[in-house]
Amino acid sequence: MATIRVMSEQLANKIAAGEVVERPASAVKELVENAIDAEARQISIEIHGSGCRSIRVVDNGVGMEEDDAILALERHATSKISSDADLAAIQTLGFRGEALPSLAAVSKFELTTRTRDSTAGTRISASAGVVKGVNECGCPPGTQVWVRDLFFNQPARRKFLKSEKTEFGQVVDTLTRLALGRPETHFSLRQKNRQIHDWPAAINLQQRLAQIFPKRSTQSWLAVSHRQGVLNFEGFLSPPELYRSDSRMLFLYVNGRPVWDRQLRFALLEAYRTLLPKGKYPLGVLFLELPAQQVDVNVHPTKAEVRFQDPRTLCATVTSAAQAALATMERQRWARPLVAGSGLRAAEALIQGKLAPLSPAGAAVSEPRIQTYEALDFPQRGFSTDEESRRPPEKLHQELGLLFGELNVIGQFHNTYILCEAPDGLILIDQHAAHERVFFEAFHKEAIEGQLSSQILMITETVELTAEESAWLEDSLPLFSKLGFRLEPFGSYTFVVRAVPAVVLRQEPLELLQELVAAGCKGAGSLGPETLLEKLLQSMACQVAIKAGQRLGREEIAALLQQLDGLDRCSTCPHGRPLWWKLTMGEVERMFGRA
Amino acid sequence: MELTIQRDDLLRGLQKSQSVAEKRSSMPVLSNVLLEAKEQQLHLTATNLEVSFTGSHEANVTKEGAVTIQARKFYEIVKELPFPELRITEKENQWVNISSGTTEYNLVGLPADEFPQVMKYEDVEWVQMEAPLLKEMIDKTIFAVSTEETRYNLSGIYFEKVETEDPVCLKLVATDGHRLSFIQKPLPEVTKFTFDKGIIIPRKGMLELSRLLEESEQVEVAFQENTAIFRQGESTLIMRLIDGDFPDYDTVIPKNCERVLEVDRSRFMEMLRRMSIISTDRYRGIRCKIHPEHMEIISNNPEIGDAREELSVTYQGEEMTIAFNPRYFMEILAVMTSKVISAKMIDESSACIIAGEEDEGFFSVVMPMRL
Repeated sequence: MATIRVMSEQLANKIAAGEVVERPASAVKELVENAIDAEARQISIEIHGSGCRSIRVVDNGVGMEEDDAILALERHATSKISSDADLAAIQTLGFRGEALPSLAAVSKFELTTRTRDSTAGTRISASAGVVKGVNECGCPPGTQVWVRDLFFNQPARRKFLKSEKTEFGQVVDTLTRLALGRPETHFSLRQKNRQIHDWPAAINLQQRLAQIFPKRSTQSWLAVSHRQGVLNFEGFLSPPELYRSDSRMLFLYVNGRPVWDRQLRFALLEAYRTLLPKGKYPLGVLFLELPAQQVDVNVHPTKAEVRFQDPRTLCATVTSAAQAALATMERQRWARPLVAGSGLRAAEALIQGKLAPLSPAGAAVSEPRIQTYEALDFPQRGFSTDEESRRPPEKLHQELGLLFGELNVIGQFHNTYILCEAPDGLILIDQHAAHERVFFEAFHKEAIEGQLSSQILMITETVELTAEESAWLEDSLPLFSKLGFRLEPFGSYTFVVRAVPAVVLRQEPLELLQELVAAGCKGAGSLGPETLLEKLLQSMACQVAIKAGQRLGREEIAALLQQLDGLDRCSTCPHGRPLWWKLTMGEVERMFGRA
Repeated sequence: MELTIQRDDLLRGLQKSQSVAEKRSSMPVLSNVLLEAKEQQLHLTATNLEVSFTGSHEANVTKEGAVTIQARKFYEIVKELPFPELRITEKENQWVNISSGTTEYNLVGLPADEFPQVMKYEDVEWVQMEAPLLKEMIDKTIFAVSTEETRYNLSGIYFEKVETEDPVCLKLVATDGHRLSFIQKPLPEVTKFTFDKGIIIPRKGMLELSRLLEESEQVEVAFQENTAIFRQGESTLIMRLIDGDFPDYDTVIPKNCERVLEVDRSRFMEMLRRMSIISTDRYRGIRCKIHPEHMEIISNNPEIGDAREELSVTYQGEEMTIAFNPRYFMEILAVMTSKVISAKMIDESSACIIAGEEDEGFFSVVMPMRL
């Protein structure tokens, strides 16, 4: 007896739906992508609850004729590709022909559509994948898809959905990702009758960024671009003082398609190494354009993952472009605009607040969302075609003498911060963080080129460690020799110290050694030798740097500022804490009610 | 308390008390100087708890008593007073009135009983020493004292009696673990020192003593339990000894150095000064390439650039390259007087001994660096 049978189409669709439609956000993604592919200029999304109750996506795109509309509900029916060659050169977001049938299979589904040329529209309703009716109807040109009672026939799936808040948050994230990719399209998101987001058509990415992120924080973002050969990319990255605890706000696009790619993400983070605190991620948007043949998007049903032909070169290019953007920013020294607000947390909270979809007290409700985006004082750079307005920062730096060393030093505050007067505000420099960065950069250079200079001891010392530490240290001796220690195992978890880093003049070298061993040993397993060396250098720089609370003389301050000017990176300490901050004249004047 | 005193007498004592009195301290009274009027004398005392200075000066005491006032201000006032004599009167609530001619000051004081008890000494055996000799010994060792707070036993100069040799000697040794300096001078009086083998005297105390010895020919020395006392005329310095064991320095002094370099001290010094302009950071080393007839010094700093210089020398041994912290060398050369100095070495990672014929009983040991 034949036990293997071909599945019914409904069953197959339901299974496919499992891959394509995981949750309300994936339904929104598929529908909005369809709208984008239909060249819509205006897409509005209306959600009830988390989206399980109802999702309605309305666009003003090309629409469909009746026959096409019916066919669209068939699996693997698509207008987007027709041959193998098309698959290899995909320009549209969708192409698998799975979204609509999959959605229809797991919901009560209604599709209303009309092309600009036809007089009447078509309305198709379906339930659990079975077409219930096809009617002619009156409707505006474009397409409206209404998905109700998502997963009503899949109680198991429904059970695994998270809270309404989480699911809706996912919807917002999805939409943000898509909207960033299409600045020219007007997106609006409503929940029940409340307008959550309204992002009118923007003239460029900066404008879209300003709509999505608060205006104040995007002013200081860095433009990244690369145009060479077949690989082109451009985008914006957050300055080091702006970060999040997750990488959700790092948006990557490959040929217009939002992707989630670990390597690419890592390549970006690499550029931020030692600039951000541990476990923190930058924000950013990056659009990569490369020939369709060099990237395989057909890896995953939701197309979130892609494969590159040459990921190594790609990542290296992205890293160096991001590093270049950060270096350009650093060359402006204290004159670069900081993320405004009363500190990092505030800026971070601002962004999170803006994106937290369910906070009813948010500006989304209380203020009219119609803004005049022309009025935004967005710095024209990166994407700007206006060459005049893009002054090279090096030139700027030379003209104005934008160096820390040339600032007028006011004095020391709490023996911890150096206060300086800049033409546009008061600059505070964390003396420990600054000195730490100075040492770190010097050590790093020396360690890469050879080893740190080391002072041989007159009287050798011994240091006792735990069993675990001594085993680790024995394996890491070459690394410690780079740091300037000369150590020899002496049996029973003891090491003889013959030489110590010469820089450790004022501190107890054995204490430093023990601290380095303890710090290194803890997380060593997961780190590569380079990262580990960096970590050890960080600890060492921290140990030998001027401490907070240490009184500094004028000359010491001047020397420190001068050293700072010699560095490529001077925004943060090597652990990622900010090194300087500016209280702008405007902020001070507001405090005194003068503004 | 009420007295009159000669301005210049008082000024001498006050000046010496300035560096002992604490500038910034968690105990405000330590920034003050204690004035005690007793038996036609005014005793001034300043202390930082580790080192105390006392100056005793003739005065016309009409009323005995004691009070403390701010050391710095008191000194500045006395220095500017117009007449050679002044009057000090204690008023109510430790207000102190200072008057000279028509000038008058009223200063806020603190009660004398808040001032810490300075170590008392009685019936100690005073030993006479030549002040210039002791000063030379201190100056030739003090620079090597460790300034690391954690290295307690290295934070002073080690005084050691050498009674086994003939003549008996006094040895002073200091080290910070990177270099060591040593001086030994014949001194018959050491047999009278009332400590067993050796004691460690804190750096701060030695610094004060060196200053005090500048103008005198003789100094009286006494030791009592954990205290060392130095008396010179009207001034007395009392210092608490460091409670710790000085390391066994003898083992680190290399015995069989076969490579011997001889060089003109002042030319070597000038050269080091030139070369270290490049190595701004205190921890940066220089490389010495030693050839039979000349020595080449190379200094480089990735942030600034590099420098090179050659100097003719006399050298016996294999050609070698050895690296040092130039600062360590310069500090040694600065205290020496010999025209030609010798550096004896074993190899590029062992200690180097520096000595000179005219610097009798003195040598210094420097550990090289690896660059």
